[in-house]
Amino acid sequence: MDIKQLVTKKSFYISERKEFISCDLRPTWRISLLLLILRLVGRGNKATRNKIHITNWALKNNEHIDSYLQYTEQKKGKRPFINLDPAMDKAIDYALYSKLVSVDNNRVQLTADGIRVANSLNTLEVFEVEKSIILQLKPALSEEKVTRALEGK
Amino acid sequence: MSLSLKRLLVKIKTIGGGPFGLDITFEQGLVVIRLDNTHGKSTCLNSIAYALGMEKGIGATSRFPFTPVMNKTLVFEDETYAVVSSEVFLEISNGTEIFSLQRDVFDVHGDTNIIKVQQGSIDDFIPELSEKHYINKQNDTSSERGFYAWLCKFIGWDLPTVPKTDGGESLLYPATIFPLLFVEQKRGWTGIQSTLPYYFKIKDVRKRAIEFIMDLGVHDLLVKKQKLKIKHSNLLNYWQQWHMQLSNKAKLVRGEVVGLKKQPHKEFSQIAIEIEITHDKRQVLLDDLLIAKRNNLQIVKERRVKESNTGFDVQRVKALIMKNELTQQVTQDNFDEASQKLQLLASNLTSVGIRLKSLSENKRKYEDLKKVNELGLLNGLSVEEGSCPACEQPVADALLPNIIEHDVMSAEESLGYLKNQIKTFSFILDNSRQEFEHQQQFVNTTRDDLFEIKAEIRRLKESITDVSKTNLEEFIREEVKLEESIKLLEEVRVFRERVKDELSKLHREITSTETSINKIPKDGLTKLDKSKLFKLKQILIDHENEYGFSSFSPNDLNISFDSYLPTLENYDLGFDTSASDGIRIIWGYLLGMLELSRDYEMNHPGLLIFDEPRQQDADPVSFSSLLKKAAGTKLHNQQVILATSEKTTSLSVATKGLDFKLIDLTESGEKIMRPLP
Repeated sequence: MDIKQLVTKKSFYISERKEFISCDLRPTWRISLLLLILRLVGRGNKATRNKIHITNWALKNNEHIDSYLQYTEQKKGKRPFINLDPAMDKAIDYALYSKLVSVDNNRVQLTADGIRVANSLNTLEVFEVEKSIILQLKPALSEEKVTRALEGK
Repeated sequence: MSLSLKRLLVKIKTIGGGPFGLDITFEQGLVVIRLDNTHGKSTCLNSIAYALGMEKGIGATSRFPFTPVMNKTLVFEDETYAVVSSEVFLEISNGTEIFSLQRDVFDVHGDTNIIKVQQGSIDDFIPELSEKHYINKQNDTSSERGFYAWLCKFIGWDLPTVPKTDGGESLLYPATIFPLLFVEQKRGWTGIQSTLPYYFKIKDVRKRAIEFIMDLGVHDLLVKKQKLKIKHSNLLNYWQQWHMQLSNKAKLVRGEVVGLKKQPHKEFSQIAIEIEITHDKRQVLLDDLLIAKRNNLQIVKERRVKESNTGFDVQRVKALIMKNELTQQVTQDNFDEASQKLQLLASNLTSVGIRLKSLSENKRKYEDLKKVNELGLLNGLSVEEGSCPACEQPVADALLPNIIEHDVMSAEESLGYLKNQIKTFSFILDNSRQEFEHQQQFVNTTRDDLFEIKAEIRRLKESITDVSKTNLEEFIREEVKLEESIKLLEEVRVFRERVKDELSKLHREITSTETSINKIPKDGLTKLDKSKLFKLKQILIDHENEYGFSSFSPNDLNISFDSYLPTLENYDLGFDTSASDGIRIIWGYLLGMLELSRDYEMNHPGLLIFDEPRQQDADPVSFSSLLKKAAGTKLHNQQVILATSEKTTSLSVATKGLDFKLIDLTESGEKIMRPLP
């Protein structure tokens, strides 16, 4: 028996829908975020991979922010469980080969092009939430505190 | 509507040297200030912006908008002097009155957020007699003591109220208009309005500023629409309040409102508004219940008269207790079941809420991505074009390609998908919430029932042992109970009638507001607006032809009805032209507005200031055409001030035969700040 006929008298078809992915997996979005992180919390537009990863992780949800601030600033609570997002490493790679950043000894630094793009991102009305969170976290993102949060020393 | 500059005076006090400074007198028409590079050209022009309190409009934010000459050290004839204080004076005219402004640039005792204002020329300026106006504080644009409010009154500007991105509204700050009148040297030439400050959080501030300067009617429509929208949302608010009040009243009699929704709905009719009450496990309308209760009361009364003299019937009470105990059991079961269901609904509600939150978050991110894409910030990157920047192999538009099994949606498709999902889930959330509230109410009434039955059983049990009891007391008790409940029902009924009246009035008002909102055209340009923009386009093309614009034929230029900026085939310019042509466009567009204001009613004050317009070494021909065009402003009592580092000889060639004022400040090769007489 024809299954089509069984279900409905009309003809029908199934088409494959394209796959939806979360926006933070888009290269352009994540590279923009990377540039903003380096511009806003880097020293001299330069930061370690660890700092970038912590900022990126903190941006994922509010509990991350709270637990991080509690541990580094108020010296309370357990050391947060920080996971390193491989997508961020990929974004650093893409940005590196696109000549927006340079990487030297695990430190990522904005190039002149990168600074230009980061500056326009900073002035435009985009990434408003991310920008405000990054700036809120800024005092807690010294390399020393970052290392402490990652290594528990 | 006019503003022109008469004289600029900068005073710098130093240790060991006389007062230094700069004193320039301006005229109407073209004024060219010639100075070599690094000799203080921008200091001179920025002083003008600073005296007008417009440093935010030329890209300076919290940073000191001057070189160290104004606050640290000053060099004159190879001697270095330490700066003690510095101030600027500016004499301005609006065609009828002349006023002098004074502002401290650097002074230990002075407040740089105060601009002193006095009628008359700078020579007559007496600080003690001047009026002090403040800037960079709340209400500097709206309060009488605010400087911008004063300046706008002086120019004749009536600033519009515009919507902000945070939902509020504010006046259009003058600093957002200034980039159309003043092009700063460093960032100003990268595009039209490139020093526009965004941090005031005004929605579409770029467009609002142009609309104001060109006095486009579309702005009034926008304001009207905004007002109507506010009114509409207020009306909706009233609606919700009435709805809530009626629901609360209905809860008093364990009823719920039917035929009325939280939002006004199409099929609204005041007759349909009813209150349904659960009575003996059946849904009854309030009016029906009222009738039934009244009948009941009648019956009870008659029975009391009939049986008032009979003895106390213990058997009857015992039977009643048994019946009630059975009901209690059933109600208890119902209550337990309903509470469980309520918990389930609550957790469902939370999970839908979380899902919706994450969808909105993703939507916000995709909107950011869309903006970044549209602005082309990362244009030209190979990742953008779908290939790996290192090996040029094609890669998917995702950072973790191994999790992807099929083709990935484009950013645009994702946004569409998210919008649909949000719509669906919002609908689900609404439904779940409704269901939850419904269940909540059911649980509450069941609990009340339970308590009542328990109390009733206790009372009946007590009455068995009480010898003084008579049947009469029972009957009266029942009567009083009925009367009370009738009274309450009456009250609710009266309130319902009132709500019906109010809501049908409200509904009429809401419908009429909605129609008025819909009547306002989306594009919103009036006939006059379109003719202004069309004329601006012609002036622009005319200018570009003269300047030797060569990226493409100037005749293909257009002025967008959407952004009001120059476009080519509906694409915003800026990236498609050569750098020198980009500058020609800025010349033509800003001068074009100045020219346009001669023929049309506009808010343009007839003043334009260019700092080093010969960027990117525009060739001598186009520079001299610019000067020629600018010199034409004298006939119309307008003013164009140009600062340039062009050599004196080539400048005299470029300005041959033009009527203009030249201020050549570096014949001696000295910097601009010299001893004042």
